[in-house]
Amino acid sequence: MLDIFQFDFMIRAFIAGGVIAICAPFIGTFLVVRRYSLMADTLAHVALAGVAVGLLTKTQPIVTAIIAAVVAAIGIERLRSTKRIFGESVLALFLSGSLAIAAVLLSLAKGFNVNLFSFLFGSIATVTPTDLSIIVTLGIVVCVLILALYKELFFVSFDEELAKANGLRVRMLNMLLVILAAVTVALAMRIVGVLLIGALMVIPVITAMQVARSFLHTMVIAVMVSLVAVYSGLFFSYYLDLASGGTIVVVALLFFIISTVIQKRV
Amino acid sequence: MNPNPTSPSPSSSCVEFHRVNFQYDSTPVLHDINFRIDFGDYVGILGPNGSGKTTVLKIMLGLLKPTSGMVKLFGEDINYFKDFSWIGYVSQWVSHSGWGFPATVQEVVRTGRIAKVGILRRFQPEDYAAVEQAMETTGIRQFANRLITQLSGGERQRVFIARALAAQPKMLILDEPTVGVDLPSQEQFYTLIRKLNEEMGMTIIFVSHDIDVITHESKNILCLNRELICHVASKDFISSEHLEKLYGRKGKYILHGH
Repeated sequence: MLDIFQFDFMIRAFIAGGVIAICAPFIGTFLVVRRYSLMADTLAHVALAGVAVGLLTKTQPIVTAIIAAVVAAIGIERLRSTKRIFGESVLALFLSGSLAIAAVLLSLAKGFNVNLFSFLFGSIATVTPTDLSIIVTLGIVVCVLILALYKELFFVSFDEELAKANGLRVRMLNMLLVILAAVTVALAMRIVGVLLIGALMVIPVITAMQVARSFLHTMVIAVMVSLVAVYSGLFFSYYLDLASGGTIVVVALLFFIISTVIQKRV
Repeated sequence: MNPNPTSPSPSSSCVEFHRVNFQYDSTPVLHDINFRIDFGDYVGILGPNGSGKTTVLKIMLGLLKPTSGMVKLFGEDINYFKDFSWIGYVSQWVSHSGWGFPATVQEVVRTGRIAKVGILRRFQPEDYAAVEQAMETTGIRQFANRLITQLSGGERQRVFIARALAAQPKMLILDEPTVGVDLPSQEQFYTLIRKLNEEMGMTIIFVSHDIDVITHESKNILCLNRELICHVASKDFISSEHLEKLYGRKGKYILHGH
């Protein structure tokens, strides 16, 4: 049929892309309504530092990226809950701090080359079979946990204090959410790129919020927008030889613009 | 007069504070607070800003731990108390993260039921029924599928009460429940609370700085200003005498003419 599917790497990109297209808005919905939109971007930069560690130590970059992002997520959540530093200052600290660490490590690893560009902006040709199995396995774990804890995560996002008064384990749920966000970011890095993951987690969600009529509805629409964006992005990326992350996010952006025009008809 | 057979006997207490002290870091907020609130009571907690009213509520809800002293809920030490679904809580509505949050009335009311349903479990028919009933009682059923951002302050207030009722609590705690709510909605609100207290035997505790409302609506009054100034029946509350103690001068400045 289409020559695009003649190549194994394209098939891997499509499977990985589908998993990420579902995970990103699942997590993104909770991040956006909690005013955590910048969390994804911050974790992405931390993941880049993880990639640098991977390149330097010659281990799987996706593994070191996941570890770095999860450790940072725990650190961010801890610092934020002590309330001794403002939430967004914590994010700024980790974002620029980890970028600095990444820059230092990458120059040590002599990693400033084309390879780095693919990590920054995403590349469809780089999903290895190992990457794919990690993405699919952890992607399923993320989705299952989000669905299983949907009502608790919704409650904590809507009213943290009441959730606490009702005896929910709020700190554990908050921690879990940021850890899942970290994992998703690290998984999405290959296809969407470090600099654009935040966009894939946020833009489909705010697009959905323009037209959705409930929280569940928001999540469903966000996933649909994200799937269309990822798949059309992959197609354009292949046929027009464009960076996949950029193409995906530009498509998502178009959806957002359309949604603001449609808006809510009450 | 308690229709709920699983409730403890009406003579037992809902909340007891014994010699409770509380301080934030090193700033004392509450000093040696002692009181007891019985089943079926309707208590208004009155005090100026910064008097520790909200702190008292948060201690009752288990959100804050007293620095010293003992708190009992339904006769049990709060440290061992597990049934927090017996307590419905409506916080100051301005503090809700409701702005722009894409949730429907129904989705919000259901959160009141989540602790009762339990983690990793699905809603059962009786849970949906309780949610429906709560929306019915508060008169918001026609808004069930509306986004909460599309509601007025008064309507949204009723959503939060419905959410508290969805857990079928024995006691309802309200913090400044009518701030930001227009006058007709306030009257509707107090009629509803009175009904919950009188017809369903629910214990009501509410915090307000509005003396008129408290003396008019509640059965008993707790006056608080870092320490307990008085705990009297509303009909025995003599404004001038207690208010001077409460506010340190004639209370005229804070009497609202509603």
